[in-house]
Amino acid sequence: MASTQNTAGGNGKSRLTFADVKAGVTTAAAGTLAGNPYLPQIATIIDIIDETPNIKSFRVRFDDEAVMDALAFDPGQVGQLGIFGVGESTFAINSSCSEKRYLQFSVMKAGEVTSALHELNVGDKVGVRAPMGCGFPVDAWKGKNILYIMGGIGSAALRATISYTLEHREDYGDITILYGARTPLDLTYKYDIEDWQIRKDIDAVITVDRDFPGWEGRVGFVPTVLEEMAPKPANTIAITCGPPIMIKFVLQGLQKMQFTDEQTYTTLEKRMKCGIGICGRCNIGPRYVCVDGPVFSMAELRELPDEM
Amino acid sequence: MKFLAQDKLQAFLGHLAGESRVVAPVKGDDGVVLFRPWSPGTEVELDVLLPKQSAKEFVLRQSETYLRYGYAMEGEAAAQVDDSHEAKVVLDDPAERKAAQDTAVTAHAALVVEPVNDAPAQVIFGLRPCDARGFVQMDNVFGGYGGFYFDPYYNAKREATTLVAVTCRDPRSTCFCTSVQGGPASTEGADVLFTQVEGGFAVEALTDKGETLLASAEFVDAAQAQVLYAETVKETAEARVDAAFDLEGIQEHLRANIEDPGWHDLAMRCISCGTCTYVCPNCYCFNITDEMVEGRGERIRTWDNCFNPSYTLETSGHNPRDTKSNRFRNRFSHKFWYYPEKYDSLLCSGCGRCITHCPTRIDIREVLSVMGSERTAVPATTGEEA
Amino acid sequence: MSDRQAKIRELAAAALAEDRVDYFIGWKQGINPSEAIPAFVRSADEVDQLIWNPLSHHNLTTFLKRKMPDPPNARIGVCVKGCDSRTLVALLQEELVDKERIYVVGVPCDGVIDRRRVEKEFADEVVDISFSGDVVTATTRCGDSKEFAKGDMTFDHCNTCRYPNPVYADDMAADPVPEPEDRTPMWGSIEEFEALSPAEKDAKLADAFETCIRCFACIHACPVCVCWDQCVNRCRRPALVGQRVDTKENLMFQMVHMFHVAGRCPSCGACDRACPVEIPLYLLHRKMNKELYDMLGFEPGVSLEEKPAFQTFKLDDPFGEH
Repeated sequence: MASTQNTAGGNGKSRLTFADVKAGVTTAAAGTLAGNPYLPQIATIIDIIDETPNIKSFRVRFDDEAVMDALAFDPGQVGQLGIFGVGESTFAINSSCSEKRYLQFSVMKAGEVTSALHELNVGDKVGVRAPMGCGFPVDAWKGKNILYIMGGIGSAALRATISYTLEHREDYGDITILYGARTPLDLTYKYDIEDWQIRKDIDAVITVDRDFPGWEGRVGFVPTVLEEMAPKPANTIAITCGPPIMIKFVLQGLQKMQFTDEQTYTTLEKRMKCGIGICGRCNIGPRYVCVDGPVFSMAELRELPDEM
Repeated sequence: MKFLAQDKLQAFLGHLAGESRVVAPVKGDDGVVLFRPWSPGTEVELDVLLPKQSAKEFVLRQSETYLRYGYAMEGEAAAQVDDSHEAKVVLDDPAERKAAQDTAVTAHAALVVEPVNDAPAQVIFGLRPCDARGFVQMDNVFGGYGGFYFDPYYNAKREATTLVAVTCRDPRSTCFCTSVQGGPASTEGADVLFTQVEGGFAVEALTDKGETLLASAEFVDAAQAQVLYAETVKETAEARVDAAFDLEGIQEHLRANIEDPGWHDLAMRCISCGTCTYVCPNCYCFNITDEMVEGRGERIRTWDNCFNPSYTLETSGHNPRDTKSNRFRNRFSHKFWYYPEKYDSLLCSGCGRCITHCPTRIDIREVLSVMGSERTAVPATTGEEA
Repeated sequence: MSDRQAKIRELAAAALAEDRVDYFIGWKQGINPSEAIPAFVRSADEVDQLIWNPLSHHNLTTFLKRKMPDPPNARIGVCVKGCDSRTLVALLQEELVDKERIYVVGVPCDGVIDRRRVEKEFADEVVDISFSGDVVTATTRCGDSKEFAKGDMTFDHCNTCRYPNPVYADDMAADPVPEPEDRTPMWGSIEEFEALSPAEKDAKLADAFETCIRCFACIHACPVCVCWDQCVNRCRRPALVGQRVDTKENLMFQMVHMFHVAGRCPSCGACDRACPVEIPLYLLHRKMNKELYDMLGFEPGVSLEEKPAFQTFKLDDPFGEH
């Protein structure tokens, strides 16, 4: 596992000076640019995958080979993907931690930066600051059953974690994936879904919100399907990500099924700028989503004001 | 302790100005006192206790270009990756810039990205101890304290800056430095402390940087009477600052009162502007935007504030802090709960500017007295603070 | 206690007691008697905090605009002076405030004090301002006291005011004060500005806007500036106004504001009074008012039946000639 130093309430609290930073004592995790966490690494888009009508996945490779080689991240960590002249936005790194050829980010076209990203072609340059934030505690989960509950583009935030647990399949108990989208067209990573459905060592349930011509799979909202599946909380970790309204009902459902707050995890999305715990935008109470998150257990979230 | 005669002040500042930029409180034609770049002959305004704005602008610039980018022809110098804090300007030559613009969209143009970090030496003269302490509190955030990131832009300017504080002679009724662990003669953060005495200033160096400044020929050793006078000035000033609120347990109380309806009552007269945060010597939140002109661009950071209704607005239209009272709560909680939890200190030095410059005079002391103490059951329709 | 103050309290108490409003907005004493601040009163037995004196400068109608009421559908009582009533009328003309949810107490006004002008007469902090007839007495923390003629300390827009009585109110706190027979606006310092050469104007504007800190107090204090979280000045899509804080962008930001509120803004001066670095924003809006008057004979916010100048078109508008 790559180590991340940027956890809250770090030990040996002291202020750094330029002298410290030059001597190599740094808190930044961005490759050779450790001394300047604001400076993006230039990367080239090597592949673009049309996932859904409004979601594209970008595979990017750092131009500096040394940075590419040194890259290490935890499943669940995020990065800032940006276009010079437009700005940066935060996205989950959804390629596998073992993937050494590229970083993959999935982008839903919505605002200023995401719309500009959708205009890009293979070969275009982007700026990347990654990895950032804290990943899921996948080591601590060893020996447990894992239940993924995802909706829409929420799958992007959990994909690297799913890959990790599947690549280390023997370390975990039962693995269940519940994934839903509005329509079959809105399902991301169809290549993953095919793989999950072939594999015998995981249980994948794919659902869409309502009937759709040609769809022969399950129909129903994610929280409803979850209730029907009635997973048992014993020795299980539940991880959910999706639209806020889905998360809300999933969390209620899990609580009803006796999942404790310590067993339940989610990963949050907030408007971010600096991504390094300084600019003060993504805080929920005393926690900064960019450095303390984006991964939080339900137990941690309960301590925070209602500013999700 | 040294002594600087009143009529030697100009000579001393002139001497400093020869080697670095000097910033001091200066009264404009409109009667407004602000920290402004000082030039010889300009009168330094020390009678008005606090300039309208704190001096933070000279270290945490209100808007600052931190990256420049453009496109260079193949064969031209590629992007120099540079994490040092020295100033570096890309494509400074007009002809080169023109060429870069012309080729910006061609396949052969290479993206050039360079950090810009301009940090000339400067002396900030005449700030009050509360403003000097403000820098110490921001230092934690930008200085990687407790395992956070080190900000090369803030720190380059901070290290190039010498702070010469002046003891407050006549604290205002809105001053509350003594309630937040400071005082009108606090030395925290300053390199030199001036105290106004008869005929001039009693002067103490507080750091090595400060010591260097006092090597100047204008200073003489202070007489015993001047030392005693300075002590009296400090004590008198300290006695004039009223106790405002109790810090004991404030963090726990703010945590306990997070959903208290009292926040709504206190925020009623807030107009959700950002004045309190921009005049504050401690508030440091910022925005990052790209400004692009003809294929060349700059990434800049600018002050921003948590009262700004679009501060946390997400693309989807969802806003985690959509109401005035939520945003209002964030500022006070940040200063006395969130920040202390991360950095073991307060994010307020008690200057009182947020009170005097608030368009509706929202009083941080009142907010903390109410929300930073134990709340008994509050009926939903309580009067304003009363 | 002035008659107007007593009447405000009486009307507020009645509205609250009869549950016609959820809260009532007036003025109360600030940190000390040298200033007045907005007061939000929720029950009839709290009305004694309400005051009326020449320090009651806040235009309280700003608390009626979008996203200000808490809860959002609150029924609100509010005090308005003459100029405040014109911003309220402007809001009502465009249905930006629901007439059914507000109760308006009109307060005839003799002009309010520019506290900053008083402050500048002292180095020490002013802690008390009192009034006796036309004499203003200001006292500092050290006990120094000075007397001024009230007329020397009132705002420019008070000195040239043509609408001292509210043009819209449900109830009045007093009989109207005498009004000028001739309502032709007086432009005062605007005419001085217009007489300058273009270079001089540039220099004056640059000087004024150099110190802007883009805190947005001006637009948030402005009752007729309602875009709130959608303000073009902060928007990056489109990026019409640069985020860089320099004289040029600062002026651009203020120009956008000026044009956006043109026809609604009666130049009440709320922006000016809110500015922490004392930029004379009032003059900018006053200039726009003069243009509207000279060109279209239009005065913002004087009649409920009218629409803001830029939302209507008449064949005899000067724009129609081309």
